[in-house]
Amino acid sequence: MVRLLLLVAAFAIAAPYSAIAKPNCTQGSEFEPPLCSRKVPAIARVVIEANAAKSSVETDASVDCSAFVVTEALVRRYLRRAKRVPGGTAHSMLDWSACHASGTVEFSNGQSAKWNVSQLRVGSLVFDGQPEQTLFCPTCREQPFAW
Amino acid sequence: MIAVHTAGMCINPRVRRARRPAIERGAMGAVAGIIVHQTGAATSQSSLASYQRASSTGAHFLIDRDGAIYRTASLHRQTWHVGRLRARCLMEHRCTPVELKSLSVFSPRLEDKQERSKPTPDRFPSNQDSIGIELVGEALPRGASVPDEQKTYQLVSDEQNASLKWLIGELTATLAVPLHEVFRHPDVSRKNPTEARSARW
Repeated sequence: MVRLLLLVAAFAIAAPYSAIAKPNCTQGSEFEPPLCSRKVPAIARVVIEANAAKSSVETDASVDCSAFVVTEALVRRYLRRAKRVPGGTAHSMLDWSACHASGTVEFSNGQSAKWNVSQLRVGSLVFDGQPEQTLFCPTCREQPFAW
Repeated sequence: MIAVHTAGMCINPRVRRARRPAIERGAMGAVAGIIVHQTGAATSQSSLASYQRASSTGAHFLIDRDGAIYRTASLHRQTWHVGRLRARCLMEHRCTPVELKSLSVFSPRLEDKQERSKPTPDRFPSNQDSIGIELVGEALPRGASVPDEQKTYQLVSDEQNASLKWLIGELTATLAVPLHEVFRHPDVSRKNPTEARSARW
């Protein structure tokens, strides 16, 4: 009985750590959250609905988003290369930008989703009825992104 | 003044114990400032639970919606609560021509690197020399219907602001940090500008 209790206690202590030890994720660092690889189906179609948009919560009138113009090809590259950021770490570690673009994407497997990407390479993908996936693309070093 | 245990944990009846070693990083030197955050989460329980994960980030204190204060990390250890620094001289309109030239190309990474080469108070306090205080507060509306950059952080409650004012008073006195070196998170790094906007101390 004592052995069983010790085993249960040991599992309770270890569980929170083992539960997040995902094999396809990086460890992260002071300025980059853990990034997890993701399987991306072939992209059939990208629609850009908002481009060079400025967030309504940005009160600094000097912030100009007119240069953040994405193309369909850039969005395709971003969605292919971006990594998934596990929940809870994106908010504190990744930079926020007022400049963003958004739209929809259709995959060759028939799925569709809403996408969003900011000038500082943070984005999201939302499939119907599913939680938002936060994305970050450290290798997307091309204009109009900034890093 | 608040009593600080040799392990860096402050001792006061108003402060509850909830140390989360997983968010503690390198040794903290002299404390140069205090940064006020909002968690983006709805409850203290969810934040305290997330602080147990090996790759998690957090701050030294967490203040719940009802004003309850939790000490979550040792004051002798850094926590990764700040992120990349913004150029302080730009915010305070006192950049030299050389600094302005180096900042003319927008690169948050280079900007942060340049800032880290400066001593405080020429730069904002960083992970290496600041205490972080998290206020439980969501970015609204909930869910994925609105992208993160359009969300607004909920107002800090009166109880949270009363506790924040007390805690900052105690910490600034104990750690000899000037009140003008207490900042909201979006002042020092690139974060949603509504985070902690309604925090008062």
